[in-house]
Amino acid sequence: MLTLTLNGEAKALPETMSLDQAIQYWNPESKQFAVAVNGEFIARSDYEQVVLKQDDQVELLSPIVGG
Amino acid sequence: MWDIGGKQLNSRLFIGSALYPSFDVMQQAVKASKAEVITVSLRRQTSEYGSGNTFWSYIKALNLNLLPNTAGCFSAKEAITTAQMAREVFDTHWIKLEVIGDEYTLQPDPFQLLEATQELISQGFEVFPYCTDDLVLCDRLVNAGCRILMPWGAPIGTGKGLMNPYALRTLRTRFKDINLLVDAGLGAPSHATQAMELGFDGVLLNTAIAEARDPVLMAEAFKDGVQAGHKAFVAGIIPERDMAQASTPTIGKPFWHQN
Repeated sequence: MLTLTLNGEAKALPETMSLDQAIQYWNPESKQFAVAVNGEFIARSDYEQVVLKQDDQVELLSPIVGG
Repeated sequence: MWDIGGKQLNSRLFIGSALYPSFDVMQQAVKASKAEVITVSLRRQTSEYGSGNTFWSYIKALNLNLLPNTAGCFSAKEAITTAQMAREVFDTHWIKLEVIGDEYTLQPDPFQLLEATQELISQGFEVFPYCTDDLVLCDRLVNAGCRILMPWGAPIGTGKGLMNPYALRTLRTRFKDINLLVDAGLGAPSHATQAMELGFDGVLLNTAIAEARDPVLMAEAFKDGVQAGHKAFVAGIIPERDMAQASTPTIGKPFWHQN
């Protein structure tokens, strides 16, 4: 069990997971997103290699309107 | 047709996708504007913004060139990360680089902007920097590799028009081979016309259209304003004179005018 934040909210994962596994576990509504962990962009091709740690800050951003 | 960022466009009006009363109105306004570039952004999935699925479906249906922004970033580091995320989500190396330095005026931070520009250009981005009209800053951005500059007309959303036409004219004079677009602060189509009359290559705006009583009609008005200004620049505007100069020939006036 580890706790971290997803988009600013505390989240728990039942076990140590890769970013790829965590995203499948969280199952975000939109599949159109990009991810940063602790302020660093993680390319989609690297999701399997990144292992999430306790207190990591995960940002999962999706398209919105912009000026 | 004109070239910008490796693409050929017909329209010189770049349009924002925010602040419309509905996605339907946004879509109609964008179509009325004839814009070929639309700005978009990235945010967390929240109840306020939704999942982004609905917005994304509207944007895809418009089939325009996407210009993602880094709105809300206050440091080069934040802006660089946001740009990298935008490149993956929107599948474009274009980035409207915003690094804000002052919360009240939303004035760009020139130092952070330059730092982020240098890094993003080294990573292969086509940077569209939202900047002030400061000549030295613009020179540094060009030296960093920018082929496009987007100085503000006035602070974002104010509708004040061109606060400093002298500075904008100076940029046009000094950066003849750089694409110049006025970004932000326009309120009326005449402001867009004025920017184009100065020889700018285009304008980018959002609030003036989206918050008009009739955004679709205003989009059409801005389209016409941009076209009028560009045609006037190409046609050659006469220099101002201090003295009146009759336009009707004076030779051949009838006798009752000869006292």
